[in-house]
Amino acid sequence: MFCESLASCVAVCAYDPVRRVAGIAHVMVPAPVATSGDCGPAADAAGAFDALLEAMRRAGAEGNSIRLALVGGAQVLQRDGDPNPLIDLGWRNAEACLAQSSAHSLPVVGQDFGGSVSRHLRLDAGTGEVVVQTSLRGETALCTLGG
Amino acid sequence: MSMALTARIWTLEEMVEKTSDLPSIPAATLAVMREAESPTGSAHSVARCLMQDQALTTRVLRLANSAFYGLSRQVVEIPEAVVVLGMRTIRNLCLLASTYPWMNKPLAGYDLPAGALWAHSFGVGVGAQLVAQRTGQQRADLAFTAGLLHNIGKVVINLWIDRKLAHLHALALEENLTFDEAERRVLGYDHAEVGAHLAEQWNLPKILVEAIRFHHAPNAADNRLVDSVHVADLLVTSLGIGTGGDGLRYEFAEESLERLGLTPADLDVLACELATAYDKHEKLFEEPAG
Repeated sequence: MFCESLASCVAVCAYDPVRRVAGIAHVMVPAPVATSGDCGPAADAAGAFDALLEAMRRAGAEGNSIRLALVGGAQVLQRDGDPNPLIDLGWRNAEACLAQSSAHSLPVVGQDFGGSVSRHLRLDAGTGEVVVQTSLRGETALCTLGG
Repeated sequence: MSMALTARIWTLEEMVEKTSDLPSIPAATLAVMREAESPTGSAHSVARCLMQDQALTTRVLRLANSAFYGLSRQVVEIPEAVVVLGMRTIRNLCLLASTYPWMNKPLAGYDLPAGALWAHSFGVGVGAQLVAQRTGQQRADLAFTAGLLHNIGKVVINLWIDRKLAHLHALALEENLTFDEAERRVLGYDHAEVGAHLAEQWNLPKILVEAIRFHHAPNAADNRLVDSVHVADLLVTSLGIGTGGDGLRYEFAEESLERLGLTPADLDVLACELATAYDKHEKLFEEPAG
């Protein structure tokens, strides 16, 4: 499974190593927003987690076996290194995803957040391996969700 | 730090002059842009300019008949298309048809695969249009044009920084520079300045030249169009639409939000609306149903 060109958005990679069920959700904003059009139910962190976990359960996954990796949440350059929560969508997306992971009592095995880079990621549905690629670092193995 | 890139430095004008594969806009499109903005311009005069170029005519008719506009019947002649869609829409379709061939190419210097610069530019056009509609401070069609063209300078610089992206990154990281600062440090100018120079060569209106030149430095211009493009650029880059190797390594001027009467909370709303609008606008490139 692939997720390409992740910037401020966060990819929630979920894997049940026992049943080998894998899924990725794409979080665009930290919380639901009132828009003039339909933004989709899974654009915010809570909506994305609910939709992903429901889809995985339907595919046979057990909620208490699911392990997570969170990738993305890039930020515009901050000279002093501190994110500006007001404008920094990436930082807020990352925080919201960590909060959702806790709320659902799901272990975060690997996380790769921040920086000013765009990321591509690959989740191997057979092994649970999560590989992240950036222009700067090339391809690196982040973690294995396979247990 | 020693930089392989500094072996030979040209002025901006020399770089543009020495670039053999410069992006261009057909004369017919430039004429349509002028007529659409002219107080004496009319549907008839816009159609006449466009029909000077048969290839462009075909491409504009294809776009006009796309699923996006959902016309009840197919338009087969340009004069009819201008009347049905309006002069300004036809102007933007001319620009889309003219820029797509060279914006759709890969830019190795910015780690942008084929289609990525196009996706980003088109996204910023759609985003700037959304910002303009939300704030009511500029014309939405002009905001689209400015957004579409904001990164044209990258097409030129790409030819010179090809395979040197890692050097620019190293410099930017080592000295905590934005990517445009790194470009200026190495080349003496950045992609925004090169783009503005190209736009001047094409005799584009001054307001568009400014939007291109200051899209990373909106505080240097008193121009809400610049602010709209700056905000749209942040949103599109943040959403990862055609985001390249330079990533988000740019500064965001919060003052742009204030000048536009927007709050930081509006950014989340705009991000969602933009993602939806971008998907909808992609129908422009789909053939009509039936």
